[in-house]
Amino acid sequence: MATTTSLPRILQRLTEVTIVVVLAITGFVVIATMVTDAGLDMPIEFTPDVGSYTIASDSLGSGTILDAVGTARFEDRDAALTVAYLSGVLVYMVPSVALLALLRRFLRHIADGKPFERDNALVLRWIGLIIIGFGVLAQSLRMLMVVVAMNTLTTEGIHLEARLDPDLTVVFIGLVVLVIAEAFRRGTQLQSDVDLTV
Amino acid sequence: MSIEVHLDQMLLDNKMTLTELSERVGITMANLSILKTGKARAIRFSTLDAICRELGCQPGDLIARVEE
Repeated sequence: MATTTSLPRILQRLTEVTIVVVLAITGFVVIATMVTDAGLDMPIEFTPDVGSYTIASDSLGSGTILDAVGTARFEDRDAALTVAYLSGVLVYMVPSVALLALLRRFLRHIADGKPFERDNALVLRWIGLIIIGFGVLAQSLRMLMVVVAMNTLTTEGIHLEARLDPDLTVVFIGLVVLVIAEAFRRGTQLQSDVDLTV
Repeated sequence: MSIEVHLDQMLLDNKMTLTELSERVGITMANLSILKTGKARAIRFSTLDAICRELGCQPGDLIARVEE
């Protein structure tokens, strides 16, 4: 029996609020980027020149920082950089909102007391595929940005490298969701059998 | 499916409506409609027993297998 205060219903409402917040923040960032001349922060991965940064401790001795992840701020930006920045924002925002919308749909069915609605298996399958696709896309985009940066930027004290460093955690999570989707598909069949048993 | 349900004919023979049968056997109209229209995937023995009791028939009178 569906209630307005059940946990799935609360999570559904929370997801709806999150969608609105994500859209609002994205809209604010896009508008602020376009109307102001503020500097743009871009994520970068870099390798310091050999010996540039060292660390030491009494127990561990000395060490060298091999690579790092940071943020580069460009105070003066041109149209190309602005477009690249906004494209990156949209690339992250669109799948995020899609995932939240699908999750909201899934939670609504659960909250309505219909966990094995036919739609749910399909929704979960899409969630799994989007997670995997997003992971691959994000990694590809990061590498592309580094390659572009390597060819267009001059650096001092660091050098940029395009490393193939796939985040398999995201792909693994997507695969787990796909497996759960199959379980829900089977559950839908069983639910149908129960519903049509007199 | 190759199983036919002759509920309509049995109701006619007994001069009974679906509503009356529903009240007598304690099965919802929705479920009896599912059975009558051939959409049912399975029938419980308890349901079959109750319907046959009220209609005074054997299971073989109610359901039959036909070659497709």
